[in-house]
Amino acid sequence: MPAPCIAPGVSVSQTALLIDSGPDLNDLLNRVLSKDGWNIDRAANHEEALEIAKRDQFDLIITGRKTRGPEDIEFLRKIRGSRPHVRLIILADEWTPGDVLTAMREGAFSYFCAPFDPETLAETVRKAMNEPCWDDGIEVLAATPEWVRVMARCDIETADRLVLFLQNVRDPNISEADRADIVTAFREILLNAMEHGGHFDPSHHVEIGFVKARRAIICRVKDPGAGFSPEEVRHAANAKTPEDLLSHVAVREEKGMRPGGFGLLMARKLVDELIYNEQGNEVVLVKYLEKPAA
Amino acid sequence: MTMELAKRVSGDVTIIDIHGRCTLGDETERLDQELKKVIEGGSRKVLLNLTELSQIDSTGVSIIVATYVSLRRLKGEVKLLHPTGRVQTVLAITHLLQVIPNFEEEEKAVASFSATRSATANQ
Repeated sequence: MPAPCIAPGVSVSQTALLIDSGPDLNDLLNRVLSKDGWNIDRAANHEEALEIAKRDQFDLIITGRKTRGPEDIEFLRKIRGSRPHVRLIILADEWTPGDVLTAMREGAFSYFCAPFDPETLAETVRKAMNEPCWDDGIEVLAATPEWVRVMARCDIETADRLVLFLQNVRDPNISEADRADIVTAFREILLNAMEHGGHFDPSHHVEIGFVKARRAIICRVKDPGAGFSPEEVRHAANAKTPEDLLSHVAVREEKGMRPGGFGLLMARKLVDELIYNEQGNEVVLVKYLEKPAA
Repeated sequence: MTMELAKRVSGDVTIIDIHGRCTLGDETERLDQELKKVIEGGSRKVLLNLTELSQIDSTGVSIIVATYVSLRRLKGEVKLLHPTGRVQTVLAITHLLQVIPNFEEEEKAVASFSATRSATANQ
């Protein structure tokens, strides 16, 4: 049985092991980690990193960008074998959608495909420090590039990690615009499921499935709640015209709810079909792809 | 920090520069608090500069709408400056760009508040 995970804040100081990624990325990571008070150790490559990690304990390890996807996965397995709760962020110049999914299944904290967005990378490093007990948040039940099934714990941090993984499954047959639409719609539906179905209770989980067909992406999200009727929800914007856009604001104020209610509207506009089950706790999103996959 | 806010004033218009990402969590809470503070402080003409906003989700949209509703009740106005990329897409699909006035140039945006007041005064 693995040892219980320890919140980073519990340790006296936090130490990161950085594997060489070249001057630009090294500088960026140095700036982010130093600013947030991390101690930094360095390794030239995976082999050296494994040696160092056997000897010393680290809270965070960031791989170098120069290695290929399968090498990163092998490194992840070895590291997790000896240090099961270490947060490992993989940076990859060369990767496949399958590599990203395998990394998620094997317990990477996050995965970044080149070109790297410095802002998102910096944010993820900070989250790695602040997120306690992260590694049981995502359970991958099935993962081929065409069929993914995941259970996700009902908390915002887990939702953000999952969405970041999916953003990096950059299938070359899916256009950037389609990918952005799917990821944005999925994030809105996922957060709705976690908030309204799971009450952001980390003991609850949302069930997620993705299927990539030749001309469509299909996503299914099932929450643990009792369900609702989308037609009867008055606190959500479901505007067909700008004139009735604001009518739900008064309802939310009356109920003492935080500003919100646009998630369903956004998701509906970004995918081609959004279908709820009878109970209203399970939804399927369908996005037809701009260009058929080869 | 995923989102940075800066407040400045041009005449009687309060301009809030929003940098980075405004999504559910600490970021949207900070934006909500800042905008409430601005309104409670007496500002009735608020311009949200979205030029450097890289991402917004439904919660961020909702905070803009809540600000719009609050200011309208107080006979005030909120306007948007230069949303781009995905932010523009999100504001368009939620109809915000049809409801809340938006501008490409700051000078014109600021001037439009006076124009509204003059038009109202002349009615």
